[in-house]
Amino acid sequence: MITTADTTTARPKISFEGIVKDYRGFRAVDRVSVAVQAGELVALLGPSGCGKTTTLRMAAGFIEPTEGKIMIDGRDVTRLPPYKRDTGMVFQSYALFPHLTVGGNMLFGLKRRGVAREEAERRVRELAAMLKLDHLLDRLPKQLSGGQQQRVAVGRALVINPAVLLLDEPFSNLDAQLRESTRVELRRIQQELGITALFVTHDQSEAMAIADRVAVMDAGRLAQIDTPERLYARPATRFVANFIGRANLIDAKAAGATGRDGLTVMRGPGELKFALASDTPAEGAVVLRPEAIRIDREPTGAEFNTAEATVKSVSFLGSAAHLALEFAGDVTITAEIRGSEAASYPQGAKVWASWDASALSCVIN
Amino acid sequence: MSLVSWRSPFGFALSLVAVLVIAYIIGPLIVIVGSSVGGAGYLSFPPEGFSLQWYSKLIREPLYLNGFLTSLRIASTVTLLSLLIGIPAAYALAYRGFRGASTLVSIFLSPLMLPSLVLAVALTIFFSHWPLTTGNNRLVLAHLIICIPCVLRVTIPAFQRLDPALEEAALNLGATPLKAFLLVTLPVVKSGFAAAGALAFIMSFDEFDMALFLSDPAQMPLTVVLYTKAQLAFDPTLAAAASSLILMMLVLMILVQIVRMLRG
Repeated sequence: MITTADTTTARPKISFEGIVKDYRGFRAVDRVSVAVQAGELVALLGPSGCGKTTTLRMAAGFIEPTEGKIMIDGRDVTRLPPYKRDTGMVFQSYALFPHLTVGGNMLFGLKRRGVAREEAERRVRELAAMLKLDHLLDRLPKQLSGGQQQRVAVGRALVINPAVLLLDEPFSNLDAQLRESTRVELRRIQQELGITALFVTHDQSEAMAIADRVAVMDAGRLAQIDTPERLYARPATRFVANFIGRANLIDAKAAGATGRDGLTVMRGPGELKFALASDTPAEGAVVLRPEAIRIDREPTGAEFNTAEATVKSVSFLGSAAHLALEFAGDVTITAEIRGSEAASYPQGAKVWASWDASALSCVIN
Repeated sequence: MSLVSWRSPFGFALSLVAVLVIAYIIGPLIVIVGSSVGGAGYLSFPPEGFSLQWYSKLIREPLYLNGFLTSLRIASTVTLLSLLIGIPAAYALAYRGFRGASTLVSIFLSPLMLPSLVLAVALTIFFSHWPLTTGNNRLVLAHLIICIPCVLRVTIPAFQRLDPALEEAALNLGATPLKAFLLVTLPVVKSGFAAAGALAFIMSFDEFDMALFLSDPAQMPLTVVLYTKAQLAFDPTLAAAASSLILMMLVLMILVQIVRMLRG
């Protein structure tokens, strides 16, 4: 795991420096800068059309950026064709060569690199064993299951020992169960081999589950890049707050300090008064995660971070239940409580909601 | 598994139509092959007796043999050239894709819509002003006009079905664009080439209108030889020649099918 402090000073394995891609008056990627450290797995996350795949394809060399620089291992590769770059790519469709066996697919890159036959076959066998493909080396891709094909695609990209592994939605063609076990497996191999990887997905839970850091992209721009934990706790924009997990966003204005704790007060609509850490803008939206809300029958007596509400509706989800809480000033906030407690708060009940200052963050509108 | 049982009234009607259509197509062929093995000295069906004398006469007749060899030479040249021109064209039009590619495809396929007689007349006029191409080379050029579209029509869908990521994967693994094409794209679509080649070959070999107008009178292709012979006298040697052609095409089609099945 790469969590040591020196990663910020070390030379990144791959970096994008102010990358722009224009298509006939449409800007697909807008001044994106991302640096991935050696051994790190970074996910490019965003809805379709946000520019994440374009960014990945620029790293591979299939698309040339309009502006900016791409560096791999300290070398400027911006204008290099794909076959002169040291990347291994796993395609969404896997793109296995249908006329070659599993072994032939994995040997392909080594042959192009002029690796001696014996050495190449040894490396293929080693990696195949690691990916549990060793018994399938003589099969053709069409004789394999989807999960096996996916592992061959990963193996083919890894066996050339690339500087960077690029993955384009590698799990999207697998069924839900297989997807989860496959991504755990991929993460294990990536860490075991210390591979640097850049990984494109539109699935936030997938990105959060395996990435060291997640780069959230929105309309061609990099909205935020950070660890999954910090992205969730301190989203930088309204878009990130909404895209990563569920969030209540309440418009609020700064209204002085609490006088103690060094917290800033922000007034929302109605009686809502938030107290949160001081680095807050004058005006913005307070981010309140549903599971951070506590529900009580009695008032807590505090001045901030609590308010009275009416339960407007209850959706029972099994382990959890979502309450839609209506506050004065026509504000509706979703709260998540344990499923077993759902019965205590029927529709129409008067309740007191409260939350901790540390659970709050604020984004600029 | 069939959707409709042939025992149901609708299924029975369908089967009947199918049988009638097949009979309509195969019938004339049976008559020709049948009359080519007849024992009588004239064309008759059903054949009177059985004899291969017309086939032995066919082999001994130099006009037929020369015609056959001429047609073979022309068709082979045309097939080779059509594939050499058609395959890269199909690759560029269907796999790489660019603005206006589909318009170009329509233009390139348009010679298939023209009656070959129209082409034949037009080309006769053209070649009378074009002294550089002589003899049966004129016919080769003429056949290319219809055989290249034929190759395009068969290979374009094969390239379209190909995953665009395949070539990218090859490039990503370190293959140059040429190597990627030769080592990945070409082998994957290869099975479509056999069909395209066979089709171009048959089209050229069987072609009559342009051959009649443009071929070298000293080196007549088989179709023109048959035509000339039929005008003189309709003896069973003609039927034997036609039957040999049918047999040849049959073998060719079976070979193509076998190649396809082996490739899966």
